[in-house]
Amino acid sequence: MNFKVYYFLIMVFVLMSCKKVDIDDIDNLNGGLIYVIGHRGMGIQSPYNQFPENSFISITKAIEVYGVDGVEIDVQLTKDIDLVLYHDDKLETSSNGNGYVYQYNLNELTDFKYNRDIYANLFADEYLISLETVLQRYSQQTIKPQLHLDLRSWLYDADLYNSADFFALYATKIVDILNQYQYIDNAYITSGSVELLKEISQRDGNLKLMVESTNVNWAIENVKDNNWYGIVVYNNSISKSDIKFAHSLGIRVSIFGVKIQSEIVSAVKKNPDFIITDNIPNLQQILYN
Amino acid sequence: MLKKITVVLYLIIINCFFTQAEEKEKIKLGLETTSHLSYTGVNLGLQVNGLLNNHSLGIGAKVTFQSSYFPHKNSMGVIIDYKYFLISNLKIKSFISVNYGNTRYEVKNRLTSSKNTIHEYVISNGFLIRILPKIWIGTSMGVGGYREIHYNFYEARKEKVNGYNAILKGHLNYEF
Repeated sequence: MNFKVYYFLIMVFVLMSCKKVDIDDIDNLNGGLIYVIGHRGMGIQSPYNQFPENSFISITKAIEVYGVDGVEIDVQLTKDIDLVLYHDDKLETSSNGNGYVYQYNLNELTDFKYNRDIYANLFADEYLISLETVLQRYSQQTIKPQLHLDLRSWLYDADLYNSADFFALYATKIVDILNQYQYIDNAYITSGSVELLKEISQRDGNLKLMVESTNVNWAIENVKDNNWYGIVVYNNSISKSDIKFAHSLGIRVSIFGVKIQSEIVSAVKKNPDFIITDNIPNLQQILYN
Repeated sequence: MLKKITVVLYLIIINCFFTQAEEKEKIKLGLETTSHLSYTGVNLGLQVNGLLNNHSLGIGAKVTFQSSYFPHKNSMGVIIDYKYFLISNLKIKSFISVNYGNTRYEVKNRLTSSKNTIHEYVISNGFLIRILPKIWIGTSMGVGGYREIHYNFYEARKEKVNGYNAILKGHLNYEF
């Protein structure tokens, strides 16, 4: 390719990035308000974001420095039936631990440090934290940040539990800890497992339960059948008309997979109720400037 | 730990490797563009340098890329950079640099907004290689600290946070 072709491609890229959104046109179940939710805190770690996902600094930075409406965090059940924040199934992929989360007690897991990529802060060690650490920090606030808890529900030892026992233990722990910290009103429970959500629903009917799936129709059907709160869907898997249909049934929609400007613009134009983003500054810039 | 050892080895090797005779510089002006990775993430800077013998003082501006593929609005700052050239000849320069930079950025959320500042100060070591008669390229690495002054939306107060910092920098210099 010659210079002119490169120049043309760059100009196309720049023009695509300049797409505008009229926020007055937003039509959703929050009265035109889209809640900004930080994905695993400040988003996925990258040269533009040095904080490990689900780490304390990433969560507090998003909530306290950027003033987001909430954060989405990944929750897993530990060996001693407690709750830790961690996304992957294996510890070695993102930390200096080895094996699975369910093989360790909470106090062992919180000794593991997040791995650092080349762009991470050379001097800062970030450790795995419990869900309770986050609840303790924000439960006393007048305006509590929304906590969107993504329950990792397939990660357990089948030799220890059958799925029913596992879901029962998991649901009980979630409901107990949210009640303990009086966080029921500001917690949004997300899972791809309808069975787990049913267990939680049986224990506390006031919790906002959301089905996560790439299959929009399946997710909507389950939320409608169980009279739950909403769905969580990947941005590229849902259209504006899908969201309009969900809204017509009173179902909230949360979108994730939103990072670069074109993705943010496309997500906002679909009128979701929540956007879980890896690019908080850019989304805020589009919504509030 | 491996990264810390790598940084120390880098500093030693750079200084031991280029042991050619020094050449005294005259008073010169130069332009320097830098890209660097540090606490504030990816930064691009442009500065004017004044060079006298083994000393170089540069002042300029930079833009900080937030967690975005595009410059965040108002996310800019100044650079003050002093270099001392340990080795300076027609082909290569090795230097120690004391560098200050700040980034001022505005955060707007649903309820309010705030203007935050991050100060960064580092000592680094690097080299420049002449690729054209007036153009030099090079790299440097360094360590230092940062001081972040931001508004805490949830506690409704200004906060000051200090920490350690590391920098990896690429240089493209033009000397008039």
